[in-house]
Amino acid sequence: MSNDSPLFFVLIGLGVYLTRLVPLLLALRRGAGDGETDETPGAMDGWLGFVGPSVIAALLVTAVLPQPGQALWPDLARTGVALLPTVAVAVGFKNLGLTVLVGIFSYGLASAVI
Amino acid sequence: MPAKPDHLENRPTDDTVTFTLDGALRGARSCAPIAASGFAIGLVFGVLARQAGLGAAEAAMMSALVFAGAAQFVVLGLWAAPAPVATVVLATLIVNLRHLLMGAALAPHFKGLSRLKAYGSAFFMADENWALAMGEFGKGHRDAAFLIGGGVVMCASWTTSTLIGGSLGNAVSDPARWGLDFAFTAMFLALLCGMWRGRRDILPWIVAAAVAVAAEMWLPGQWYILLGGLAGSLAGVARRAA
Repeated sequence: MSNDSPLFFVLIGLGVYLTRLVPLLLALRRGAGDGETDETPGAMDGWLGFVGPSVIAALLVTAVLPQPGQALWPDLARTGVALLPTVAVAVGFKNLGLTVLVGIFSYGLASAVI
Repeated sequence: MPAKPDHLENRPTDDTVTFTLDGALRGARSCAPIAASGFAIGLVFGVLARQAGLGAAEAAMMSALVFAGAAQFVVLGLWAAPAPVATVVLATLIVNLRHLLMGAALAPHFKGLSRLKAYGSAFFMADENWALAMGEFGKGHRDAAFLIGGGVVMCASWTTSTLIGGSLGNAVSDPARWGLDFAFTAMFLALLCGMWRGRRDILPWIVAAAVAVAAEMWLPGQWYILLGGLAGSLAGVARRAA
């Protein structure tokens, strides 16, 4: 894409890494390791616990809706047909890989028919 | 002396945290089936990355450096020329905010480890091997290398499959025809299902979705991610406080 992409990926990787490392280090420094509990601090639990799912919900709903320039009803129909088995597998198995594969297969099949 | 409860009976009695090769190998074996499942997603990611304009080596580099499936799919969804750096970095950080909680929860099981071991383990922390490691620690096992063992296997599988998928990318002329466009939707759906904690999640998720749709319709750029995430999380906090 561009000569800057390696630096860009390092930047993203560093940010993601810090979200993993910093809370661990802070908890260790604060002495969270003294107890046997897996509970995280209440203030973090109060808000951060909702952030991840909310962002994913925002991404999901905008991914489902047709993009500008696409035929509205055929695209909605393909998406609706593909969503049925995908939701069933996602809820029933809670397996990321299986859900993605079923979703791809279902949407590919729906696109061939509709 | 009263008998110990069943779930404590077979616990190791020594609470000293260890970090051994044996523990890493046990983690690797436990994560192998998940890594195989992740391989398929990595192939899809590689194909989509190539379609988005990344080279196969670039896509594999991203997988090796970032090692966060959801964040990487978000990057692809936002990828454009020129890359919206601030938006992408912020979005990936927000998507990975759950790691703040996961990292903090590891602390009791990493007490006494050297910085190098803790820093290295944190890089390889993904949802799946974290969940397996917490289960392992819950049984009383104290080998912290379990996490990194599983993470290395998953990262190797993820990076290799991305490279292979990226190499195949141009051979797939129309991703929509093969259903690959739907991979994002399925991925987000699976992640969301895994995050379901009960009816208390309904309100924040609906608020997040509604605000995201409104923001996408009326605002330029990708503000829908941030606004949806903020609105949903605040709705969740407000409901819990009520």
